[in-house]
Amino acid sequence: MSESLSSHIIFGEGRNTLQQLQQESENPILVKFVAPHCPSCETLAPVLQQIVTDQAGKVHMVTIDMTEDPELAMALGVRSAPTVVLFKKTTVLERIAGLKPKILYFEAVQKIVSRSQ
Amino acid sequence: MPIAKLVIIGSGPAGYTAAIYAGRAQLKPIVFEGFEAGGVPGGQLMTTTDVENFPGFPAGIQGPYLMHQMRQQALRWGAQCMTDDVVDVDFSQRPFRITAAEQVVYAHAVIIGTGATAQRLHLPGEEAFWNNGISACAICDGASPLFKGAEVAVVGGGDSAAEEALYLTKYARKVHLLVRRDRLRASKTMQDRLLNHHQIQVRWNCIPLSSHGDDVLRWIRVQDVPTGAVSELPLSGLFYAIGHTPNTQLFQNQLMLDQAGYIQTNGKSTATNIPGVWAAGDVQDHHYRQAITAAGTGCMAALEAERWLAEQTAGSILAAA
Repeated sequence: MSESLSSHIIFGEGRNTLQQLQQESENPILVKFVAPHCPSCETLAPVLQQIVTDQAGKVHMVTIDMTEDPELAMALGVRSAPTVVLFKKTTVLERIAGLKPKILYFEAVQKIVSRSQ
Repeated sequence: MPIAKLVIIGSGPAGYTAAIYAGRAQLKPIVFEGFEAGGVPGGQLMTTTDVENFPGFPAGIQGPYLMHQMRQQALRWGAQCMTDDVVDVDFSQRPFRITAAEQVVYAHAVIIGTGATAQRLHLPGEEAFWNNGISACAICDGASPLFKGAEVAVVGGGDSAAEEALYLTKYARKVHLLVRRDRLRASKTMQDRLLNHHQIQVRWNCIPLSSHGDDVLRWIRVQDVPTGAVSELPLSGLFYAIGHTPNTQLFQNQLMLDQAGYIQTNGKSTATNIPGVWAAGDVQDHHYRQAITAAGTGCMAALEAERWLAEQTAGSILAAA
């Protein structure tokens, strides 16, 4: 069977994209929960963008606005923005709440990507 | 080893103003804006909505937008901005060594504008209601629709607690002032205004224990110190006015700090006890703590640094001759 279309998505948005990737892709998914007017989210954005770009297609990133999808945020225990949740399929592998040192995001993604190779 | 003329640590109004002046003086400043240490890049205004007292904006201006504009102005004049946290400084050697998470920079002069962080009580539940009922800045958040006609509380007993309580009476129906002891530290004038205000109820010997609610804050649990009795106080807002902590951990044992940890500067100047190091903004000011005063001292620090660097250069030319 040929690869589905969604596995080519590197940067996506919203719950639907997340669910589609969870069903169709074997690669880890970095979900970034943000909120409007959240300065820490803006600070983190270019860092995650770079980390995911550097992984050259081995990890997906999905951005979710927690004010638009509070149910999903609550269900995953997300209470503050930004929060990063790393998934393999529907399994949560790691959760980083609040703005943390850059190296933490880098190492978490690195670890999960190398584990899933 | 490339050596910068000037490194600026901090990205609030003090840091960016220093960067604008230093940039225009062709010092090519390197600005460490920070990443996650000591609050977000841009400083405390990044979490302030309407700034209504910064001159030049009669209709008010959004805090993050104001900071964005200051940053753009610094960039325009050649400042190099690094989104990186400084983790160590060594002022015992020349040039000074500034170690950040991702790089090491050497510099002849340093301006510190790392600011201060409002203290929190770290109550159970506080994280969940932070900016959702609990705040460290009534002036910033008091006008939120959450508090209109509601009951709120201020924690603290000093002048700033009194100011916040009085300010909040403009919006809230009732303001409880939770005072840890049986007296106030606030000035007599402020005390009189507080105690005579019909919307303010002072609760003596009262300590908040925990915060509760659903998507927003609904009530807190408080303890009466003499009896130990615990009761519930329904509230929409809880404001901390228990002081600020200057972001000076990096400079302990290197710069002279006062008892509260603020950098001590020399008289009317922004000079620290180490020649070539200046401090501007809230990191050296626990009195005014305004964006405009931070910007003012940032300007002073840059002018002083420029003059000092010129003198050093002239001195070394003379010494070489």
